Amino acid sequence: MSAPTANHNPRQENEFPANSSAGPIYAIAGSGVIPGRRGIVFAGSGSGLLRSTDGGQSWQDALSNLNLPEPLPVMALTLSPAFEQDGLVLAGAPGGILRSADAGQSWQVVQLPPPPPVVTALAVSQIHSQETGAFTLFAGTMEDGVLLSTGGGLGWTAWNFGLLDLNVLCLAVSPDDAQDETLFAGTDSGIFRSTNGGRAWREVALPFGFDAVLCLAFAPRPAGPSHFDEDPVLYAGTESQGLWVLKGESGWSQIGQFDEPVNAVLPRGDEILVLAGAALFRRSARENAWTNALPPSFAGREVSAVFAPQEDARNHKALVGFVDGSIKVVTLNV
Amino acid sequence: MWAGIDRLVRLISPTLGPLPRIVAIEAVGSRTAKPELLDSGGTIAQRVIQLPDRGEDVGAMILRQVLDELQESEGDGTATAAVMFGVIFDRGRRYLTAGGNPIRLRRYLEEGMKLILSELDRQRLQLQGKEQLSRLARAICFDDEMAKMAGEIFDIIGAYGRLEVRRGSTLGLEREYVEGMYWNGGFRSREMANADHGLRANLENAAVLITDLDIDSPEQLVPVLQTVIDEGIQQVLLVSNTLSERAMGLLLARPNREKVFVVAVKTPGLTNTARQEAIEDLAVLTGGRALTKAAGDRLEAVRAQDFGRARRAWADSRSFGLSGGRGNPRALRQHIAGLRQMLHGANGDDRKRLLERLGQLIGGSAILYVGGSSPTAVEARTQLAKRTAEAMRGAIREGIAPGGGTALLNCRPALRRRLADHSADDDARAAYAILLAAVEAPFRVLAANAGFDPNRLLFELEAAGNHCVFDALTGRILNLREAGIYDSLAVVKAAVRGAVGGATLGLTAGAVVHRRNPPEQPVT
Repeated sequence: MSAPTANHNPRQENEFPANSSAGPIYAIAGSGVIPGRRGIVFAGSGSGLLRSTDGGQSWQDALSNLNLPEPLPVMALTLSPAFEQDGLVLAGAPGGILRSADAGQSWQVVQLPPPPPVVTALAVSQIHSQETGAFTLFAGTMEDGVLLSTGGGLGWTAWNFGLLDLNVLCLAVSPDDAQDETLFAGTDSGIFRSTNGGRAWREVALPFGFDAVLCLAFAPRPAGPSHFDEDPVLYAGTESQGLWVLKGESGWSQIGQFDEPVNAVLPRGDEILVLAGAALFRRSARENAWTNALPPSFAGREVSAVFAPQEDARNHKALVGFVDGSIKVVTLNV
Repeated sequence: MWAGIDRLVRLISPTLGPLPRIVAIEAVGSRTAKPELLDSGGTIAQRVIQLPDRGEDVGAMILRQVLDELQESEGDGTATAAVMFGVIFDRGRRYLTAGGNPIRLRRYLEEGMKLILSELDRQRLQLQGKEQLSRLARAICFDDEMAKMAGEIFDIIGAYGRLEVRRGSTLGLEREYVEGMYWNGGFRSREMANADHGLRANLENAAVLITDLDIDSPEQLVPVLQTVIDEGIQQVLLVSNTLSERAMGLLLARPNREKVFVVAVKTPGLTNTARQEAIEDLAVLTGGRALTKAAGDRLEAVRAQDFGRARRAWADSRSFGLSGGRGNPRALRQHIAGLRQMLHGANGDDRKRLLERLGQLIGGSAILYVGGSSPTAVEARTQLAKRTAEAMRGAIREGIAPGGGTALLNCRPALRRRLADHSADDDARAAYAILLAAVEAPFRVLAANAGFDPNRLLFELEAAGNHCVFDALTGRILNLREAGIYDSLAVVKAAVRGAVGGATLGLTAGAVVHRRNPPEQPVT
């Protein structure tokens, strides 16, 4: 990677065109988003990073002026909890992390310790560093485990005590991590848990033994203080063992019967969305059955990423990324 | 024997509790050297080499042996064990003098011990978080700075993580965390260093050849280098038992170094067993195949798939290490589970080695640097740090129990019930009565050492209920959660086992055989 910063040069489009060289959409994340109407959204793809300022109606190439010698896949995204104020957004790529402190208008490349790993997951904690005052950030990588930054993403250090599998595929931070300092890492062979803000890890016993854990997600918490161990709901999607949920004292139980790898799980409001294989499924809290979440007009299209903002749960809209590189605002089947 | 035991117990019991008294021990062999000031029961016992009276000496040495083993295995609990030992032996010998049966007494004492251990297990709590770890450390070492540091360290490295305690260069304590695993034994030649600063070799995406073979001739290395070049590997960590100068010359020759950068280190371990274990661990970590003498392996037959891989490897003049080993993580977890299983039945050196191996495999280690105002102070604090670390490990693995002697006091109801159940059996009643006194003794001594009336406190504590503890520092009886006063359950149980086991052994000794002293002169 080269050329540390770039200024944004927008161009308007209704939908980012399907392009055989664009590559699949790997990740979508945003802040204050009402899909199709407002909010800043980012999408990482096989060939770069896209940015929308109108809730995903139109997209621009966020890295167009970096003059990168070749397309740079962006596989992970995360935004600061105080994004509206600090504009901090991070994007994970092979060999490094892209960082923006102005809501994605300009970017800098943060090099990681050599040999540079592939960044597969990014997450942000509510814990502020005592030294810098910045949020603590986590980066999951292939082969280098979990990296931690207390300097707003400018410097990263590996903290892998007890992390016996350094191929990290996903991360999930407890909604109450300011109190419980808890986060989870899904790896190629299982799940590890940290209860001290990522400084050490312990293996989580899983009922199905070893399997790659492709996604983790906490259910949104009701308002008011709570503690992870008292009422936890953590979802884990696996490569060959389907979807599981951890509920405190009850332990792990399987949800649904998914034969395909569970690539993403998004609990929101009273529904849960699951991306299994290239199909998106939905289940309401009041029902047991899983249904196809996409309208019939999307039949045959392969889904690779989905962003369903909590703020718009009632309208059942989501931003859906596809293997062909396109992104659409979708009203889900309910 | 009793007089000797009593002398040792009286020497050690003032050190029990958070307000201990110091025992000054005259330096051996020097009239001008300062005395040692000690507050650790086990260390004090170690300084007692021999008592003048041979009968007393036997008793003292029985107790000392118990305390030595406890200090070695748990790092703590020696004063508790000594106090309990003293009570059991004293009351036991009086009962036997009055006509009791030693074998039956021993049997009931051992049954009672099992009851106490099971009651202690019922009080088990799990340690959670840095704060609780620090509080426990404080109860072990009574050193605020060390307790805080120990809490942080063990919150990170856990029960099995590797902790090295070294002498520091400042007055206080410092710690350092090292990512990855490392072993003793540095690179074989300074010319292998490649770092910009310092004498160190750094490797990236290294292939690791793991052997305990002796490399005597350069010809042995030719197939290895050829395989490496054919595979496009540019950096190699070569682990071997020996490496001749000629073979090293081949590795350091400029044309070869330009093609492949090789750092050679010695197979870790001083014994064959230790070397086997080290290369087994390296193989699992890196996904390589260990080439061993025992299997008849030869370097000439090395294949590409025999090499392990690591994201990073390093070596300096004293040690070598690696991080990001590319072995199969599932195989690594199974290997670790196997070692943990072996740990259950291990003791002594075997246990130490297993703990070291587990610590290395966890993926990181901590170094605690201990400083002080004088070499003596540093040495004392270093020993304290090591004992504290050992006790902390046991606590994390096995849990904690109410501290300050309270966990033992909470065993009294079960003992009383057992005493009532055996009202017709004199030996059984004697045994349970002895154990009732024994479980009270540590609390009594601790309270007296802190300047309080044990009888009054026992009464108040019993009325408060078994969720309360006595805080000797404030003189108050507090709710356990509020006070945060805990002991390592492993330490308390070991103290009970040591005290009961050692005392019953002494009580059932029918005779004592002394060596002739001085030995007979040879006939010429």
